[in-house]
Amino acid sequence: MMNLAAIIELLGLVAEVLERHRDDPDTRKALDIVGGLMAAVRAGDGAATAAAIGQLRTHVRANVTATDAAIDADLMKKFRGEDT
Amino acid sequence: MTHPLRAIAVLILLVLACCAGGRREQVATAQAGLQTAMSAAEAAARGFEEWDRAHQGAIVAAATSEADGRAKLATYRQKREAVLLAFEAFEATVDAALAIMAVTEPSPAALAEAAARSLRAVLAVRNAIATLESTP
Repeated sequence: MMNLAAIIELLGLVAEVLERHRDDPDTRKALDIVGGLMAAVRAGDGAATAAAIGQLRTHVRANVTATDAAIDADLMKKFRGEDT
Repeated sequence: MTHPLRAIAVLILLVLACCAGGRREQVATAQAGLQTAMSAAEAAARGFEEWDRAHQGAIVAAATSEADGRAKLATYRQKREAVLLAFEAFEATVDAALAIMAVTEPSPAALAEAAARSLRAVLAVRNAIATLESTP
């Protein structure tokens, strides 16, 4: 299982990368990255683009909401001794 | 042992470092960069969800009564809200960036703003998780 420190490290490194390119003397580099992404989306077919968009949306809230319901059930089961 | 998250970050570095070159190369590299960035975001999100599930499970295990458990879960979930909002803001920046990319000739200023927003969103997620970690 990943721990929070590892997740923070990942996000920190990603942010570091973005920051580095944003401040690079070659000021066009960051724009080129975004521009390249734009071209990639244009070049890709509809299904591939839709799949990429779907992957980009992480939907964390929906997943933790499902977890919350399961946890609440576990709590009741622990103290009431039965599934609810 | 190389941590898988570090490996992803190093891959991002390598992909971004290769952005020089012709337009065809830029497109190919950008596609790889997009895929890598999505993988990194997915890893962070799924990792947080896994941690959240385990943390709440630990709260239930330590609860001395149902009321005690409910109170502690409610406190934790209230703190967790900042992380969820940060992830949602990140998702919104993705939508905004895609909208900019859909324009036939997006302005450099709009692209720069999308890049800056992405940076702020990533930093916000990182900071929110760090805050939650310090007082879970």
